[in-house]
Amino acid sequence: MKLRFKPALRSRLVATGVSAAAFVTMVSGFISESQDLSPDKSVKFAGENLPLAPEVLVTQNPISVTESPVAQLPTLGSSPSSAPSVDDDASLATNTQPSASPTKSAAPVVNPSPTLTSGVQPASPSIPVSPDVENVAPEEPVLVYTCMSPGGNTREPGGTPSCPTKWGYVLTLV
Amino acid sequence: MGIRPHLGLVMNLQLDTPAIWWFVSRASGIVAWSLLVVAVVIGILLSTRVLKPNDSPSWLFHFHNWLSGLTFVFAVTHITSLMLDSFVTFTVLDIAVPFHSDYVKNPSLGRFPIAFGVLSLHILFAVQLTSLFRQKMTTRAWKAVHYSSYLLVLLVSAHAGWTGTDASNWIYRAIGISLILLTIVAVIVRLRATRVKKR
Repeated sequence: MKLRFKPALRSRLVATGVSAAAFVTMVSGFISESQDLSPDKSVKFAGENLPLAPEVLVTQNPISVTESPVAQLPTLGSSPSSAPSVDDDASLATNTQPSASPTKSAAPVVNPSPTLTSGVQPASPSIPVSPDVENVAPEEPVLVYTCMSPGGNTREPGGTPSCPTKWGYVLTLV
Repeated sequence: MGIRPHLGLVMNLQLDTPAIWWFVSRASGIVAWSLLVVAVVIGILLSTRVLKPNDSPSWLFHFHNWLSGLTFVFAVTHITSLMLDSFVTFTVLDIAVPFHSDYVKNPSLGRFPIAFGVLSLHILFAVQLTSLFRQKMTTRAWKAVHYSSYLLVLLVSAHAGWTGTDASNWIYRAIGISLILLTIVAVIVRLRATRVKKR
């Protein structure tokens, strides 16, 4: 086939130029779009799309506020019907309201039970606080955050809970 | 492979690894789609001569050929960059054999969108090849292959709409809808011109 370059030469050049310009513009746009997102933004983005992501951040930090006397109640020997639920609430409260003072604990709610009120007052000063909580914390379910590529390759996310571009992530409950 | 996350749902856009080939692939795919539609429209203008006497068959013919060649170049860029991209990991077989790739973006559509892209590549290659060797073929055989360009536009549009990463972007949607509408109008013009010729 003979190639003749004369006909529509200007139109061809324009078409080639427009195509190349559109291509370059799009590629540079994609690059700048991906670089405009800071790591903080990417974490927020992932959190909006997957409600479990903020919980991953919470479970990555150890439970630090342990001074609430309510958390000690189940360890006192008596096992009232409301004790397990109080324990769960207390562990959640330490995550969501770490600055809550011990005086604002749920102790008044538990007070109607006479066995509890009689047991808490002598026991609370003598029982060490942090060992009990350290024993409880490993029993909590832990979400493991793993990056996964479209090809199925996995890798740890590193310091921040973020994965490379186009990678998804898998949350495994351990 | 096991678990495959839905990429459209959980996508982290932090660029801590070079993803340039992915960007090249996306951009070249969009450009190739646009060029294909314009090439088909110019081809319809050439075959119907609806703009007669204000058109130039020679100009239309050569411009149509040039746009088709550009489409092919950008389509090859699209698949080459897909193979070079380190995350999607498309192999030669994935790109050559329909339904071979297990890349699934939308579980309800399965492997069809990628297979449409592979079939489009085959048709594009066949159309280009038969046009290059048109002199050695009968007109009937050449036309039979060349008419598959309409199917090509349909498959490419489905491929772009269902697998396009930018499908949620309003600019991408506007471009896609414009291209599809342009194709529909061109096909209507083509069908009406054929009817008039038969009368």
